[in-house]
Amino acid sequence: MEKLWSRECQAGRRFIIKIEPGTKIVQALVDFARAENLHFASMVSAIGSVRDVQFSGIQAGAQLPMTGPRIKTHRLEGPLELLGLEGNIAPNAEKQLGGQFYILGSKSSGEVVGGRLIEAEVFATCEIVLAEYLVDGIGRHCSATSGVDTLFIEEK
Amino acid sequence: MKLRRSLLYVPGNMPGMLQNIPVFEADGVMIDLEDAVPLQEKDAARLLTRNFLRFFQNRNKEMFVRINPLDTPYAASDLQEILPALPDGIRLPKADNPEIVERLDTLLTEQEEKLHLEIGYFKIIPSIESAQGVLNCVETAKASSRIVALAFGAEDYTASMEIDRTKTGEELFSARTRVVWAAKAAGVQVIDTIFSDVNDMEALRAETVLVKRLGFTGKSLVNPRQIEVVHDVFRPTPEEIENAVEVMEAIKRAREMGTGVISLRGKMVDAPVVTRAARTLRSAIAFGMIEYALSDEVIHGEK
Amino acid sequence: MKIQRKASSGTMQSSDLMVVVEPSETLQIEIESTVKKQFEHLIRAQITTTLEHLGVQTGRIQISDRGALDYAIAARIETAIKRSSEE
Repeated sequence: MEKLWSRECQAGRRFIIKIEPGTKIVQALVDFARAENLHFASMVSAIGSVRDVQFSGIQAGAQLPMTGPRIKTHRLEGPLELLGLEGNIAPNAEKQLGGQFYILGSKSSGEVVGGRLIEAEVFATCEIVLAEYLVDGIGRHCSATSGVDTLFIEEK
Repeated sequence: MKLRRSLLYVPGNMPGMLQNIPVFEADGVMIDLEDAVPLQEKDAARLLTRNFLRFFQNRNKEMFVRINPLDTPYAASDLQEILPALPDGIRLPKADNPEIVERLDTLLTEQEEKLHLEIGYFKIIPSIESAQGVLNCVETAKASSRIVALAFGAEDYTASMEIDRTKTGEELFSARTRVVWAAKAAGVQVIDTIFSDVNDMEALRAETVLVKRLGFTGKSLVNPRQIEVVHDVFRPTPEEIENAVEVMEAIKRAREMGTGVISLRGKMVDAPVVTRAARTLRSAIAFGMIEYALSDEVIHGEK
Repeated sequence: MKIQRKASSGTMQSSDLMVVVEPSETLQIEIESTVKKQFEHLIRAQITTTLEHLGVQTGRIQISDRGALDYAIAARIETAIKRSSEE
C-alpha cells in the first residue's frame, strides 16, 4: 500500500478576506470558494476573535474507523482570540467544494484550546489570507478505513 | 433515579457466592475479577462470571463487574468475555486520570457496536483509589457520559499514600470530600469505600453516617450482613420525613402570601431548605415509605 | 480445541467442582460427586455439551463435584480445556 501520495501544483490566485462579526466562518469560506470557483485553496493566515466555537477531538484509545462515539465535541461560548485556522478547501466526489479546518483559540487566561473545527462565529473581527493552487486529480471524501473525510490524490 | 445505596462485592471465582446474588437485598452487586481473584485464576474467574451472568437473566438488581485495571494484561480479555453476557456496567479500578476512563468508554463502544446494542448501554463506575486519582477526580468524573457514579477506594488509596486505614477514618477525610465535590459537580452519584471489619457493625454505622453527611449516596460492601446497616442509615427517619412535609406546606403558604421565605417553628424556610426537603421526600418515596405528590410546581412554584 | 497436556481448574468449595483433563486416545468422563446418584447423568450431559461446543473429541476428564450448577460445570470444563491447549 502506498505510504505517501503527492501532486505538484501551481500557485493560483491570492485572496485577502475580511469576515463581518456575527458571520459563521466555515460557511462563509465555503460559499466564497464556490463563488470564486477555486480549484484548491489552503489557509495562509487567520486571525481575529470568535465566539460560539464548536470543535471536536479524538478520545484516548480510539481505533479506526473513527465514528461519533469515538469523538468528543465541545462548544465554547467564548469569545476567544482566534490564534489561527489551518486547513484547506477541496472538491468532494461530486466536484462540490468543501472545507476542512482546524482551529486554535485562546482564553483570557492564555490557555489555548483547539481541535477539528465544526463551526465558529466571528466576534469582533476576522482577517484571513487564502492561497489558491491550480491542480487536478485532488479531491476529498470519506475514507472507509479511517472513517473521516480525507484528501485523495489520484494516480498520475 | 436509580438507588445505589449498597453495592456488594462478590468474588468472581466462587460459585457458592455468585449463586446467592439473587437473594441478597443490596441495590447492586459488583462481581470482582480484580483483588478477589489470584493471578493464576484470572482466566477461570472470567469464564465463571461470564457463564453466571448468562445464567442469571431475570435480574432483580444492577450487576456490575469489577475488571482488572486497563494497564494489566487481563482487562481486554475480561471485557471481551464479560460484555456479551450483558452486565449493567463496569467498575473501573485505578481510575487515576480521565484518559483511562475514555479508553474504557471507547472499548465499550466497540463491544456495543459488535453486539448491536445502543451506544451507552454499558455504564461505568470509576474508582478513585490513589493520590493521583484524587487529584484528577474532578476531570475524571466528567470523562464519559457512561459514568453513573464515582467510587472511592480507601484500601488502595491508603496503600498508595503509605498510611494506615483506621476505623475512624480521619486519614480519608480530605480525599472523600474532594471525590464528593467532583461527583456532585459532574452530576453523578458517589459511592464510599468498603468497611472491612465485618463484625464491627457500630463502626460501620458511624462511618456510613459520616459519609452520608459529606454527601455520599451509597457505599461499597464486602459482606451481605452490612446491607441492612447501610440501608438504615440512607433511609430518611420518620422525623426527617415529617419535617420535610411541613417545609413543603410552609413554602406553599408563603407563596400564597407572595413571599419566598417563611418561618417554621422559628427556623427560616426558603428555596435551599425546600430543595433539601424535596430530596428527603424523593428518597422516602423511593423507599416506599410515603405517598406524596412531589412536582416541580410544588418545589419551585409556578413561573 | 485439543487437550495437549494435563491441566486442571476449579476448587473444592461447595457448589464448585474440580476438573482434571489429560490427553488420551478416547473420550473418558469420570465423575465423582456429592450428589452422584441424583445428578450424575445431568452432570455428564453438561460436560458432553461443553466438550462438543469446544470441539473436543478425545481426552480423559476427571470431575470431583460438590453440587455445582450447570453454568459452573461449563465454565470449569472450558477453563481446564483452554489451560491444557495453551501454547
